[in-house]
Amino acid sequence: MSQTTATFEAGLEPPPARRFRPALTRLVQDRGALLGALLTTAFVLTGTAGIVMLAVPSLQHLYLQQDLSQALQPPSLEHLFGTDALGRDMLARVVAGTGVSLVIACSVTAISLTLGGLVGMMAGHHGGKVDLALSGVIDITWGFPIVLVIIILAGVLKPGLTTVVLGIALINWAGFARIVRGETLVMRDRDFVRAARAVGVPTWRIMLRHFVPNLIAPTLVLGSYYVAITIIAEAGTSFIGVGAQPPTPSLGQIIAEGQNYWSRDLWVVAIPGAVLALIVVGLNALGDGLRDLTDPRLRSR
Amino acid sequence: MLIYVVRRAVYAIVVLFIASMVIFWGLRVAPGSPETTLFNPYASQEAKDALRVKLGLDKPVAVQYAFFLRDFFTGDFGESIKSGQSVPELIKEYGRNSLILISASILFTYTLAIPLGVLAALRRGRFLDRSLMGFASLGMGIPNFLLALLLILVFGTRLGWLPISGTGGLDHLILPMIALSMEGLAVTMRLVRSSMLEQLGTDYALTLRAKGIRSRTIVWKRVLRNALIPIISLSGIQIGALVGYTAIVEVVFRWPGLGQLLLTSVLQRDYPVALWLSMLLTASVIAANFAANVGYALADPRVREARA
Repeated sequence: MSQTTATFEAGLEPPPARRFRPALTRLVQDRGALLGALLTTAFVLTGTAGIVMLAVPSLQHLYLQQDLSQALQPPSLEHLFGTDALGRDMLARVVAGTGVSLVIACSVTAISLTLGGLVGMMAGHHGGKVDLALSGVIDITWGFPIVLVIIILAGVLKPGLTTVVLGIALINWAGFARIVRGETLVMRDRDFVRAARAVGVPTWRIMLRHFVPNLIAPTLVLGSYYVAITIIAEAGTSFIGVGAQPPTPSLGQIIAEGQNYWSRDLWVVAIPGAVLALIVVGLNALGDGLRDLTDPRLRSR
Repeated sequence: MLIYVVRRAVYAIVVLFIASMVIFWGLRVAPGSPETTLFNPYASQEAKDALRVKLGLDKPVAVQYAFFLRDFFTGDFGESIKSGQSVPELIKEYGRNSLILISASILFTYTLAIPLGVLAALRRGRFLDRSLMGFASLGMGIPNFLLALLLILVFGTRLGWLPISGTGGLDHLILPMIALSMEGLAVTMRLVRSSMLEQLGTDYALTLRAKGIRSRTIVWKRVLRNALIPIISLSGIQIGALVGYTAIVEVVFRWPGLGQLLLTSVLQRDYPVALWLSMLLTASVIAANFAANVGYALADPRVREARA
């Protein structure tokens, strides 16, 4: 919950304590959302450990060290998640793979949010011709299937994680832009925005001070779903070979490497697969919880 | 209205033209080339040069693009460097397989999702609802390639009930179809449930009940019709996502479809195939967008006035 709640808290200021407290209580009371928050926290913590492992050269042997005499060992005290076909420690590989997922999710979300937020606010705020042009671009972009875009992009650039990040961001920004445009369109005519405009507050300042804070709630909801989509797309494209390239481990690629062995040695696919599924289930549950919390109309329980 | 449609059509053609230039340029400047990925490393330089000349790769990119446009308008789509089959033939053959898989999955998704979603709404909070919703969370959480591997292991390898790769009879279709449908099935089921719950709480539903109409009639004939509106409006995105995921599912099940064709042609730099397939994909997305916009305008006069 750490990261998400922190942003959430910042978004609702001011006034912080009064509005945040009941929201947190409700989030905790909703068992599905709590589970989602816990799983997402675990994902962020594991992912951070993975990023450290990927970034520090002296730690890389943990997930790269091969030992063919130890190949395909079942989970044991020495190797908690067992070993893969090259005798590499599966625990370290899964943690590093989670780190890759986290990095990809953060980069894609950062790019999509910035670009989508800017374009959406421009379209919603300006209206008229600007809106018409931008909405057209948003509409068409949003129609492209992410996986196919990544494959084509892999042909243009080369297979790899950069391609995956670009491919997903190239489409996902439009999803954010749609929502932001809609919200901005409604807000543009609200009294506090009119008042600000009447006293001569410049547009960029209105955007920053009035639009952005009001956009944080819908963005958070959408954000958790998009992070889930991103992680699925990364794993899927790494699985078919256009994403993460060896030796960088990604959950999808670990599963792809294990698929020839898992009818006998179940853990080589089952463990990374379960980790991947738990991350996505957690993010979806968190998204549902946040949605129920921020939009009472949608509360369906 | 006519002005609106023409405007939209012009817009679509301009976008397609720009996209074609970007894709063409992108694929040509990309590292790697067909003569290095398709020939063995010991192939003679003459053979490589001959291939380059044959493909027009020895000319500047702009000239190549002009040739490409000429080929498009004269209907000369070239042939695969790898197999020598003509591109339209390849697309027809693989497209047929993709079409079978995609339409079967769409059918499977909606025929299952709608009744299950309604049932969950009617049994709200009970065991059936909870298990269906739990199933939906899992369905949304398991990426399709993982589900595909699971299905292959259980029903193919262990039980030996169903074939796990390639095309053939209907039995070949079952596992890929399930793998491809699951996410959409879960999402649609949840949508149907919440939309039904919303509609069941409205005044008109209560009125119908007060008039003493059988609840089966109310639910399946009256309420469901309204509850399906958001599902229909979201079906475009849903089906788009499904089409995108075919590439992955086709690879796992070795299903010879367009997704797999795109992947291999891109990775092996089979330019003509990769190029025309990318163009086909782009054109169909733009066409779908055009159709959706015109459809909205037909249904809602405000749209065409505001945007004309």
